[in-house]
Amino acid sequence: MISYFKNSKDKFALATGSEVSLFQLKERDNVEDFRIYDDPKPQTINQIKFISQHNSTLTYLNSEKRYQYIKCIATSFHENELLVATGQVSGKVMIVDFEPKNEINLEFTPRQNRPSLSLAWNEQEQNLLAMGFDKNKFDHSISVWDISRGQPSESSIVNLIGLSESAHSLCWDSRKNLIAGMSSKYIKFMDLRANQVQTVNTRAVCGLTISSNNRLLASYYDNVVNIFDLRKFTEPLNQFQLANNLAQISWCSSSQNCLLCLQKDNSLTINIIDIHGNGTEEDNDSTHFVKRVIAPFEIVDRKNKHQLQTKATALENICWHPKISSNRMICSASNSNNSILLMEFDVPQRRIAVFDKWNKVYAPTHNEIRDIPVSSPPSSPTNSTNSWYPNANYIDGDISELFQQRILQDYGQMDFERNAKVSMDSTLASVWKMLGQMSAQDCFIGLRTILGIDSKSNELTIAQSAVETRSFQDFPSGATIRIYKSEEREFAKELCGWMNFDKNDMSGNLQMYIEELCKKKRFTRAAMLAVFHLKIRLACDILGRGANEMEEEKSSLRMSAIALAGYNTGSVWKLQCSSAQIEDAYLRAIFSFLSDDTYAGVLYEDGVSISDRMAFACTFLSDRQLSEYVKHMIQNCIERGDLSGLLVTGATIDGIQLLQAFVDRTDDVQTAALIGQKILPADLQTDNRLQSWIAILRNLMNTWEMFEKRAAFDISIASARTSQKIPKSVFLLCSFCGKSVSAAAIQEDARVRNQMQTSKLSSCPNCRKPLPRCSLCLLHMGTSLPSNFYNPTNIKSRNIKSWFTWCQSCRHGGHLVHISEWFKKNTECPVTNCNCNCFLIDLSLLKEKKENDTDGH
Amino acid sequence: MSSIVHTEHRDVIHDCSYDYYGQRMATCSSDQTIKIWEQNEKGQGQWIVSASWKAHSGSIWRLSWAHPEFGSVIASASFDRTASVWEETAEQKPTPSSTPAKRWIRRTNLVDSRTSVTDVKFSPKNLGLVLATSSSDGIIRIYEAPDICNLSQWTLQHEILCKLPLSSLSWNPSLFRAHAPMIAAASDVATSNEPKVFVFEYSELNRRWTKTESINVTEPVHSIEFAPNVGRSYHILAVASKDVSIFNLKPIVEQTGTSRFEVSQAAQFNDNFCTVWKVTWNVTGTMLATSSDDGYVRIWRMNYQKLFKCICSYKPDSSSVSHPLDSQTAAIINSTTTKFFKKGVGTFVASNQIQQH
Repeated sequence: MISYFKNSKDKFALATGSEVSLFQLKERDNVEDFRIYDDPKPQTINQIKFISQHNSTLTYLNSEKRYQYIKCIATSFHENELLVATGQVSGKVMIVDFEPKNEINLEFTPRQNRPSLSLAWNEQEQNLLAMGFDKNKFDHSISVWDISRGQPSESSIVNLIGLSESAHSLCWDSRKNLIAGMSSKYIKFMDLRANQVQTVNTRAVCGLTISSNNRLLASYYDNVVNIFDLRKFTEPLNQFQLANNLAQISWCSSSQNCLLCLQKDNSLTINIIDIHGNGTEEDNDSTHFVKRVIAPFEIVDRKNKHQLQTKATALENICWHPKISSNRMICSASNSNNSILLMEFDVPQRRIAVFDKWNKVYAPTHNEIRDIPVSSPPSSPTNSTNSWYPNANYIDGDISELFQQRILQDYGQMDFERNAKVSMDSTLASVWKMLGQMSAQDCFIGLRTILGIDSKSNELTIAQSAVETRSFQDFPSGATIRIYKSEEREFAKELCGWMNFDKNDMSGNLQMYIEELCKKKRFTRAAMLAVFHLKIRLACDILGRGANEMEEEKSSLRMSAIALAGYNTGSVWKLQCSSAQIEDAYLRAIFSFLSDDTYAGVLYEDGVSISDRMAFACTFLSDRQLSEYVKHMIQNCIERGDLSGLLVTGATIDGIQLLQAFVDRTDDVQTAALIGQKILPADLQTDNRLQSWIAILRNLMNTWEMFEKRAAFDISIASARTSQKIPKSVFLLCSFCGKSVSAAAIQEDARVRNQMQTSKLSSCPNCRKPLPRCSLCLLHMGTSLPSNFYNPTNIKSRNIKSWFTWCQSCRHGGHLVHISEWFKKNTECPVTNCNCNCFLIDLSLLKEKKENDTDGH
Repeated sequence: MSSIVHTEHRDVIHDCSYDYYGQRMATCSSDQTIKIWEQNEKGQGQWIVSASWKAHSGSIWRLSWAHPEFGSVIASASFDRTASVWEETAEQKPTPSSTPAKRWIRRTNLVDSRTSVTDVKFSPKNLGLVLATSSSDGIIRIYEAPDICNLSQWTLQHEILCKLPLSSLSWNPSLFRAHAPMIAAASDVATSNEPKVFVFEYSELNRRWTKTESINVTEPVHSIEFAPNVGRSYHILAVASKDVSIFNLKPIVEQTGTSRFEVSQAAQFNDNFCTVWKVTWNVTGTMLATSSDDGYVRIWRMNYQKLFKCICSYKPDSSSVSHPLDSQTAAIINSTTTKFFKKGVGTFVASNQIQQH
């Protein structure tokens, strides 16, 4: 049993068997997470291990072991004395003072010998000790002893209560009332001064404990905890049922709403009942209870797996710290080695964690908000001891982070090449480059469509191609290879980037391209391309050159060159090739191509890019094989969400499916939306999936307040749809018939133009009522102005200058050109007798307009 | 070090919620108050209380911000059996130069529940101004404000009966038009072994909500949340109970028009060991933060294999962060929040203007 001295900050008593020991806890400054100490110990205890969250040290001070088996202890409230009352099996209650200078040694023996069950010191009158005993026919079960009056006697035993009853538990309230759970039947509420007794019938008589604000009382029986409100004592406020029988309950001394319940189940968990909403309000309707489970030793065990050799097996006893406000407790546990584990532990505050829009996590509790620190890189790069640094920054690498960086670099707003750079991902970069090639050819329909393969039907829809038999041009080996040619296949190969590799062009572009690859030190790919263009000799040269230039892969390249030079149609060579284990994917493809007639080793070689494989298939596969291969390729790409498959699917429904698979795999909605928006044809732009990706991306930009970027994105979407004309939104109505003048005027115009007559729309085309006149030239509105008409302004648009404008307040107006001329010199309305200062009304607007105009010029 | 702000709530905070832009935060507590927080400087300033008021006569469980399109509006759910909708209003300026005083006004009090209202959530914006509440009597209520300018009028559109007392609900935030409106709700009843998480879908055809799935979580559930959908064809639902489970809900296309889901458990974390109170997703649904009874906040991230890894576990009381790959704890060098906001600086000027319009 553990018990803190209520008025001392750091000392507690620990009762084990027949010994009571005094310990002191001292907190040190620098806080580390958990520390374990082996410490000097009292004699009867095998071993004590102490674990602290606060870097406290445990010191053994003293012990007292004159006892029989101890049933209960109580530490006193005295300021200067360290009094411990111990109740024993025999019923004897002994009081010992650990303060060396005091020599208190008191003893109380009940008249009848039976176990002592509970002890309680009074907080106000610190010398009052209530003692509860088991049932005896001839003796009282509760004795209240004033120890200041010395050894038990008539005068020092203040009260004797409960003849032939048992007192399971006792506690005092703040007004010196004694509360006792008795005889497994009722709780008695006793005012000792007025001799009034209030009884509540309940079976919950054990472990009576009163909360620190003296409002709530808790007790238990078996596995049920009752909580009473002392102001309304008759009915329990709430009842809790736990899984196992209880061993101990105790209110937290620092916070008013926390009851711990320890069960007798030999486990390491503590149940805590939090009580909320009972703080200030008068009505108990607002009170509610939350059950929590904590396991202090489990937490430590998990944190120090290698340090804590002696694992705790069962929690035994717990005591709250009387002063510290952070719900600190000390708990004891036994373990298999018969040693005692003590642990100082703060009950964690209940907190909730929320992400903000920038991926920072905030974790508020009731008294503070904290953000979870995101560690920045150490300021000095030399400090290599910070091994935690690479993953200390939990935000790093999250996709939302990537989205933001890309948005700020205008991802998607540029050409394909620059998007490739901004995408910050090498595979995506190659996808963008590939799309760039497709866009250069202005061909997003994809290889499948180009080749004319219908993915749904099993029939061969591919265009018939011509078969040619070729031998290796620069390498006389007698071997021949079939290649297939058709216009579609050639075009498809061009799209794959094999554009200028005409077989007959020995010296031209192929060599240039290969030269470029060699400069980039990609010798194996260059060699592969050479072999696929049936130039084994060239490939050998490339590999040889590679061996000269690349130090680390010297031997493997050289060996490959030798092997390749030895190519022949014999079975030995082929067998060796097919069983060779080659690391480099391109080399693997070369040898597989030369040794295996089905080409499976090339076609299903994932190390070779899809465009190379497709071009290869277009060259060497028969129509049926090619058709199957393309279908397989699409299926495979969709399964893996591999965007380079867009080359094959093109901007089709399959392409959208592929994008969807890509999003499912990577969550990269940004790339999907941008690619979709850029490449899909108009009829697929309205696809639900694409629309939702765009909506999601816009929503994200809005949340991150990147409004400008979002606007730019909106513009790019809108401009992609340019071809549709923006419908007119302003119409001019005839004031008589209410029909549109301008619409009719256009029709009229068309008719009139045929008659080579340019003018005269002086009346409404519908009702033939005259249109209003210009207040300056007095011609009817709508009338085209004569071309030689005096035109001093430099308004360039012909259409606008002859159109009408009018003042919004006096409704007078005329041709725009005339009116603007008039208002250059006047501010009043041009109509006689109208005193409207039309010009001044719109002055501010006009000024702005002028500024804009000058900006424009 | 991490920045610490004293909230001065007198009791446990039950929920904390950001507005759409993440500039404001609302907290609610058992002390029956709601507090609105604003950062004094954009991005990296201290959080300052801009409003605090006693909102209910019981613990306040959850808060939800409406989309900014509808104004500064939050809804709260309380133990006092009501849910309320609050709007921030500018009062008449006392003098033309002074900034108008702002006040939060209760626009409506939804009193249909006979028991504690345990959760309240505004729907995704595309459904209009719609509010769902869950209550201990096991009913999800769906309210709609027919006139978005009049927040005092809400009509109760649907009542979904779930039988079990509910603890939490979540709207599927999908913007995908093909996805029907969907709500998941969970119960925290401790007793029976029946499933505690339910998924409901609204059928336009029948004009009613129907239960499409029950997910087999038998422990009491305290919080559930759908991950923001970033274009995925399936939905991700995180469930906080004794441990954290993550479920993928993949729609199965059927001819009959009734929708079903293929529910698969994507992850389950036992590391928390004890009850998990809340799960929240980040803005892209790729990271999950969980807070549990042991006082730890853990952050999980989905890696490229779609597996969740604990990338950070943090115990605020002891001011230390530990990272699973490196079990030793380390002192934290000046943590900084600036990194993320610097990038946004260029846009903030514009953002202010846009907001004013």
